[in-house]
Order: sequence, then structure tokens, then C-alpha cells
Amino acid sequence: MRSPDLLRHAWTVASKDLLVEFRSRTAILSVAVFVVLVLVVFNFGRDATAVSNVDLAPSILWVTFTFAAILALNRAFQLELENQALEGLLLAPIDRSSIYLGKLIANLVFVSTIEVIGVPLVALFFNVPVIQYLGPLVLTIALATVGFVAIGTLFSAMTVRTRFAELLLPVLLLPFMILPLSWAVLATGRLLAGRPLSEIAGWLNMLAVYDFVFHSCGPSFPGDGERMRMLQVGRWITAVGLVLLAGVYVRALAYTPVEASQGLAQKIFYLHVPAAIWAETAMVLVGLASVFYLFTKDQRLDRFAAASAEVGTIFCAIVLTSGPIWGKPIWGTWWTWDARLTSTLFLFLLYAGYLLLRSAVTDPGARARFSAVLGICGMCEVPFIHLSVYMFPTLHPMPIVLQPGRPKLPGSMLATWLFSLGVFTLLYVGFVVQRYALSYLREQRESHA
Amino acid sequence: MLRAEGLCHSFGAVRGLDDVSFSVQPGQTLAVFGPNGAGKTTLLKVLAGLIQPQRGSAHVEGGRRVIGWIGHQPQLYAQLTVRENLRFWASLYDASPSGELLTRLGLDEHADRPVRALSRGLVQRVAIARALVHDPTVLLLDEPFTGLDRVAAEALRRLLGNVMKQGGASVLVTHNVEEGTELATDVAFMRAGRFVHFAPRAGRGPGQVAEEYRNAIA
Amino acid sequence: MPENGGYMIAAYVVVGAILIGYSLSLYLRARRSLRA
Repeated sequence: MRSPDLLRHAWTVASKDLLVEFRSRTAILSVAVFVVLVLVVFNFGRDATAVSNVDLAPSILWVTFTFAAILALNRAFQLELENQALEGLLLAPIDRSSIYLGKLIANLVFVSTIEVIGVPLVALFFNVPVIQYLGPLVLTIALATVGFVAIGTLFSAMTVRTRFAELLLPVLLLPFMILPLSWAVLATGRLLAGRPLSEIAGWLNMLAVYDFVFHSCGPSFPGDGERMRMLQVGRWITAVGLVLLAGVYVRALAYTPVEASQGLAQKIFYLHVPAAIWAETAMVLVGLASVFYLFTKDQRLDRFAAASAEVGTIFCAIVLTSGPIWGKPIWGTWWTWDARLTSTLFLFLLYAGYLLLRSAVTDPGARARFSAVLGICGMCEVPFIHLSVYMFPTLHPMPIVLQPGRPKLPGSMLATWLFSLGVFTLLYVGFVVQRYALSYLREQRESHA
Repeated sequence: MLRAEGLCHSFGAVRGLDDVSFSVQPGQTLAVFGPNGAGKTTLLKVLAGLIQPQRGSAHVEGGRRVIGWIGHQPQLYAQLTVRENLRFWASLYDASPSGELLTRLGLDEHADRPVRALSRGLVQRVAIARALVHDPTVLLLDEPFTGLDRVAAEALRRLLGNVMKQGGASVLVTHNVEEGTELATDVAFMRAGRFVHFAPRAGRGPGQVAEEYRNAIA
Repeated sequence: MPENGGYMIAAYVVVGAILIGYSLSLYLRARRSLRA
């Protein structure tokens, strides 16, 4: 489909959405109430001597914007379901991308409206110097908004016809929105505190890359059954991820300061921890997909669980290899039966068991049901792994990034770590999409046999 | 004008379509009768391009642009007016709504009222208008008369007749054999994804076809 | 500062190998499915 048509139809969809929202006003009123609540509660609730305005304002801004975004995202495709118009949109001689783009535009307009109102309000109530940094502030907000609205619209399109879509959407979205949000909050905070622009440039770059990746794969994301395209999208995301991984390698090895007490081996941290986070998150997602599968019997959820499990196994393998290689020079031993290492090993065994179970059961229905139960067990294991470090003090270092309070990591190291986390996120997505497409291809082969 | 060849499609273990082939020429209306779960709606969705069949192919001359779909879902935005709804759907087809269609369906005086303020009977008529707003020549109808009041049903029959007279083609899917036979030029019975009968109507009355259907499907 | 650069290299190589290896595995398995 030619570009002018694509944009024209996208605008038709977007203007329809905005007109409907304007008439019903449900979303805007909910956000308005929320904004007032947040401003009042945080204003009166905090201890002005303990927490300065400049520290609090970025978090408040972004909590408000995120809430507005999630509201818009839920409404976007719900609107079509309520009016049972989704099929009509799919029947029309327009590119699917027009629908995605139209929703994206409408969501962006909605969230931007909230931002335009929210920023002056926060500046007023919290007395933060917004005018001074208006240019870079607008840029930061624009980049982050465009990023998480793009991902959100994409996920919202994918979950719309599943049952429990309104619940599934924010849950699936969380791991992917945390990144652009963290970058945005950090950048906004530094900006309002008067830090030089060079410090936030790194985060803005990462936001821009994130935006680029999700914007280019969003419109081309295939619908159900378009197996080849799904495979191609997955391959493309993986390729970008691998290229950026090289960037992480370069940055971690050559451009990040060496930690004095541990030496060079400490740099394994930049690969080990993001992999661990995704090894755990992948299992949680397997569990969640399993729960929803048991309720809805939607085959797509089973396919996703299988994909997430296989990819999670890979990341778990990375944790279990990089961990001992890091442990040997630092603790003097390859392995110790402490709580976290043991429970991570157990996670790996759960993954392996899950994959073995799937290959052992031939009947698809039974396979899906049994895997779902195992997946739920795996998901319950994860909080234990994470909290085990607090419950059984041992050799394993206490968390320094994902812990209550601010991350205790100096700027440059934090940036490298966040960059690496972003790359592992991309790799997770690329791998899962490819693996999902692979299940589809196999099913097709089986049905022909 | 409309052609299906060897369509096969399964949903997991269930066979939705099992080697279905047929064609519909201009001026013809194919009525497909079958019990629930026979695959009728799947067939329509494949013809419309909503589902990619796992095997076989379906082809509609002119593509999605010429297809009009009438199903259970009104596909109207409650907060928008009748006119705004029609204008939106028409613009997706690069067309614009004609006043004539509104008049034909008796909607002139309600054109600027929001859809949520209309009675059920009126909403049904607006839904028909929406389906026909872009002058489709191929109509795909999924149980179109279910729940329609007398006025709307009559209007629909008239409009269908017009499209046929102008050389259009349609596929009508229903479990109400009597009603469907009256409009049909060709008749098919569907069971478990297959056509167990496919022939021109050739002067058979609704009662006769209904009898044959009961024998074939029972 | 302790001399443990070798471990760092080893870990980075192993992790890279796993990720590239898995990417290749996905690519080859898809190709096999498509050809069938």
C-alpha cells in the first residue's frame, strides 16, 4: 500500500478515535481525577525536609503520564470491541498498519494533552524550574512518550481479542515499559537538578534507539497467521539486538570504569544481571500465560509460553555459566550451595523439565494443560529466588540495582547496565517472536501430514 | 466473480473447512445452509480475507474494496451520529455516503442523532446502510435476518435484490432454510466443513429445499 | 587491583557464543520447517 494512502487512512482512524473520546470523555475525566489526587497526596504527604521537590517531581510526572498512557491504551482497542467494529476495520481495503498507526496517533495525542496540562501543574505545585530547561525537557518527554506509547499500542493490538485483555495488557507491558520509563525519570531528574546536558544525552540516545526499533516493527507486525512476516520481524529484532550487544561489549569492556576491589572480572556483572532478570521474568511470563491459558484455552497463549520457556532457558544458561566464571576469581570457588545459586539452578531444572515435558507429550491439548501447570510452579519459584538473598545471607552479593531505595551504582556504570538490560530485552523479544513463529510453522507442517 | 478452490482450514483438532470448492457468477446468490459449527462463518471469513486458509485459495474479483459484509455485529460507534458513522466507514473505502441510501432506509430524520439514542430497529437499519455505503458488488451475509424487525428485513431484501439486478454476487449463510431459499439462485448444504450438496435452486420451493436439507443433515 | 582479566574475557566469550548459537539454531530450525 502506498504511503499517502497509509497515512490518510491512519488519520481517518485517529480522528474517529479522538472524536469518540471527545464525545464520551470517560478517559480524560479519569486522568484528571488521578492527576489532582496525585498532586494533592504527594504535596501534603511528603516531608519537605527529607525529600526535595526536585527529587520528587520527575517520579510524579512520569507516574501521571504512565497512568494516562495505560488508560489510553486500554481504551484504544476496547473501543473497537465495545462497538464490535474491529472486524469492520479488518475487512476494509486498508493496510493493517493504518489501523496500528491510527491508534498510535490517537494515543499520542491523548497522552500529549495530559502532558501539556501536567507539566505546568507540577511546576506550579512543586515549584520546580521547568521554564529554564524547557527545550531539553520537552525533548525527553517526547522521546519517552513516543517510545512507550508505541510499545503499548503494539501490545494492545496483540492482546485485544484475548479474554482478560484489560488485565493481560498492563501485565505484559510492564517489563517493556520499565526501561523507557526509568531512562525518562533519570533524565528528567538530572535535568531539573541542573546537571549538564552531556549527562542525559546517553539516556536520550537509548530512548531514541528504543523508539526506532518499536516504531519500525510496530506497523509491520503481522497479524495472526502471517507466519512468514512474524518470522522476519523476529529475525530483524534479533539482528538489531545482536548488533547492539556488540555495542554493549565495547562500552562495558572499553568505556566503563573498572571497579577497584574486584578488578576486571566485575564487568561480568553487565551481562550476568540483565540475563538473570530476563531468566526470571521469562518464567514469570510463562506462568502468567499458563494461568490465562487454563482459563481461556487460547492456543496462542500456549505457543507464547513455550517460546518464553525456551528463551528463558537460554538466559538461565547464561546466568549459570557467567556466574561461576565470576565467582571463581572473587570468592575462590566455582560453586557454593547458597540460597540464590541453588534456587537459580532449580529454575534451570524447571525450565529443562518444562521443555522435556513438552517434547514428551504428543497430544497438543494435554501438552498445553500439563505445561501450564508446570509453568505456574515455575512462576511461583521466581520470587523465592529473588528474595532468597535477603532471607539467607551468604556469599552472593546483595542486590545493588533492584533494591529498595536508589540504585547504588555510579552514573557511568548504571548507564552501561541499563544499556545492557535494554539489549537483553530486545533479544528476549526477538527470540520469542521467532520461536513463536516457529511453532506456527511446525503446526502447519503437522496439519499437512 | 467469486471463486474458492480446495479450501482447508483447521482450528487445532477441529476441521473448520474440508476441501471446499465453488464459484459464484454475477447475478447469482449462493445460500449455504448448515447447523452451528458446520464452518459457514469460517467460509465467509476466508472469502472476505479475514482468515488465511491453511490450504487452498479463495478469490474475489476486486478484492476487499467491493465486498460488503452483513453479520450480527452492527459495527457502529455509539457516541457518533448516523452520518458520522457512515462517513467514517465510507472514507475507509475512499467513497462518500449517498443521501439516497439514507432515504431508502428511512433514516433521513435520524441522520444527525447519535447511534446510542436510537431504537434497536433503527440501529439495525443503520447497520445495513453501513454495510452498503460503499456500493459493494459482492455481498457476504452471515445470518443477516436474525433479530431484524419486519421493516428492516424488508429493506434488506429490497437492497439485496438491487445489488443482484446490477450484476452483483452474494453468499448468504444461514440456518433458516425457508428464508434463505427465497433469495437464492444456488443452494448448498454444509456439514463438518464440507459441502454435502451443491446445486442450482432450479425452481425448488423453500419447503422442498428444507425437506432435502433435513434429510441430508440429520 | 587483582589480575583477573582472563575470567572476564572467558565469560564474555561464553555469553556471546550462547546468544549467537541460539540465534543460529532458531534460523536453521525455521529454514528446515519452511523447506518441508
